[in-house]
Amino acid sequence: MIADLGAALGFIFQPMPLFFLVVGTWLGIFVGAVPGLTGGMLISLVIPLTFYMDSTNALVLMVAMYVGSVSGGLISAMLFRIPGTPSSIMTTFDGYPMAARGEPHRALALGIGSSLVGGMVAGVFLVVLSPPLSRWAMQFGPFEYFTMVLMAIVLIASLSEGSITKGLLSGFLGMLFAMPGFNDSDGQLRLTFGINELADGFKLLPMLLGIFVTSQIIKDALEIDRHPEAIKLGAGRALMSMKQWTRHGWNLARSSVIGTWIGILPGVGASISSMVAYGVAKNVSKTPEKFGTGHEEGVVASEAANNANVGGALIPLLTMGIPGSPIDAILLSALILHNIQPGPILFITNGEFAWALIAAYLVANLLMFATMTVSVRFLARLITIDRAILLPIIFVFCAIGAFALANRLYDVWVVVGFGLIGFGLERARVPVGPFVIGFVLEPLFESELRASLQLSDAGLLGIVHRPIACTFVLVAVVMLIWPLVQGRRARSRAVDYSMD
Amino acid sequence: MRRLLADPDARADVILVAAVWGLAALTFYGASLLPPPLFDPLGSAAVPKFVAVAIALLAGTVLLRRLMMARRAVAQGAAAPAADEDAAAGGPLRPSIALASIGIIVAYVGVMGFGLLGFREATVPFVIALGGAMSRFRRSTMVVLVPLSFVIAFGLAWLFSGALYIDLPVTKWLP
Repeated sequence: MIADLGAALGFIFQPMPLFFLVVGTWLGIFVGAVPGLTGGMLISLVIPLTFYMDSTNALVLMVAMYVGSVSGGLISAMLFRIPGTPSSIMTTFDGYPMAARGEPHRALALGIGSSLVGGMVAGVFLVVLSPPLSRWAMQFGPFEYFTMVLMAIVLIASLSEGSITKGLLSGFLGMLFAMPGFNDSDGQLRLTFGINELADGFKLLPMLLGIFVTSQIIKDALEIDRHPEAIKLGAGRALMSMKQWTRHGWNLARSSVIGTWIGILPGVGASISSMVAYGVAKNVSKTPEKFGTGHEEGVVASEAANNANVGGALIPLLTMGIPGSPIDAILLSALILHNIQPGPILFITNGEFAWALIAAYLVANLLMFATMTVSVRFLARLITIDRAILLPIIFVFCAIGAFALANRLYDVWVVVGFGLIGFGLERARVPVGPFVIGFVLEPLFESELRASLQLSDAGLLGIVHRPIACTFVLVAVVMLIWPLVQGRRARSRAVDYSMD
Repeated sequence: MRRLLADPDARADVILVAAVWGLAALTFYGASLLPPPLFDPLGSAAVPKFVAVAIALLAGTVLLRRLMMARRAVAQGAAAPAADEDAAAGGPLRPSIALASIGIIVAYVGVMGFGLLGFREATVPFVIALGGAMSRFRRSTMVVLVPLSFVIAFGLAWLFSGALYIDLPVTKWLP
């Protein structure tokens, strides 16, 4: 393991991978920091540009963008009270008040330092857990895969923002849009309604470009006149002091482990990690009343957890081929487009590649820390860039990216269509994360379900003889029921309170 | 019902439910046309039918909850929510600009799709129109946007067609 990691680090520090790491991290921080641009948007846009690149360099670039975008969100969260990424929502609660009372450097230093620790702790878990987990996942058969996909969809639906009903609806809609075209198992053409182009179905990349990029462009156009007041960032250092490191050591460790653990759960994104870590930090704090007023502990918990989530989410992606978050679903599609199949055998068939990604993740965290510490003032100025200049150019790249896939404009129409769908879902407060995960996982879901039914004489009841599959089903059922129980409890508590 | 549709969130939910029901019906119909499986235990139609029923039921639940919320609000005598609750979030929403943006995007893809203009010739007016609509043709934005549109259109056309050998759409009627 150590030798593999050492060799991968040696590769990463070669000129080309290092160049892509630096560029990726910087671009990621930039889009993370600019409200209205997201990491998902950037990575989706970059996929077509990587068709001509070496696979390892391409994925190194995207992993660096992923790390950078999650971290960059803290800048706008603290200076604008707008989370640059959804995972920075909790950072606004204490980061912004701290910056508003004249301590922006302190807030940024805490956020950047905590992001580094969160990322590195998750990196340790990524290094230690990935090989044994992939060996464990080798035992998985169709039943395990089918139930795991089911669990992933239920998990992301139940834990994504908004109601569980809308989360599930989004997941199933994603699955539905993955169905048109040839069915691999029997060669049957389905749900094409006589449209020839649909025989090929909806390709992954145009869907991603539509859902993540075009819908965001339309949303930004709708909100083009929203100009939040920014806090001015003067000269000064955004670096945590030794006293702060020691004071928050336990909080950093705890929040990083929470973030990593939640990241490992298939389908659950960074925003949930930071919410849980923030809640736990508040519960165990000696001064919970200070949370939300610019408290250091809140910033530390939120930022350590959301960065740790990135590393945690890479674990199920690399070892089982199951995306831990919507951005991981994009990375999964990038891997597939580069003819690399993530999953249990990745460490056997493409071991060097897998270790290179892990090394890239670790180095990207260090680069993120260095870049943000040095250039936070410059970045803070850059995020006020005129979106009316940026957005048309982004759509042009989007159109070219979709067109380049098969040299046909049909895919660009698909981008527009999914852009409208994504925008519509957003307006109806339906989370798009489950949609993307449902779309990506539907082929796996259907093929493994089919294989399960072919293997077992008892049909789906064959699950009862598979303990791992049973556990996945149990988790899915608990995650479905839990929000209902919680809702009922909250309602009865509210009734008791009003009666009192 | 009038009260329900006065709330933008409820209105969005009603539109969502109608769209999902339409999609579910279409999917179910499409799946019903498929032949039954011969050797395969699942067939091509089972999963689409299951998903169609699932989304229809979930959409029904969304509508039911929305109706119950509206009824509860009526019972409690609560005032109808404001049309734009988000106005406090830093500025007003601009639906007209969003609609114009959608129109410009559709027109951009359309003129290339119908062969009226090639990538270069369509991209220049597209960048100017979309950026202009978003900035309401603010002079400071346009000063940057107009030259940039040429750089982007001609630069990318050269990069993709010349260097990466991807044949972007060209204007056939131009020499």
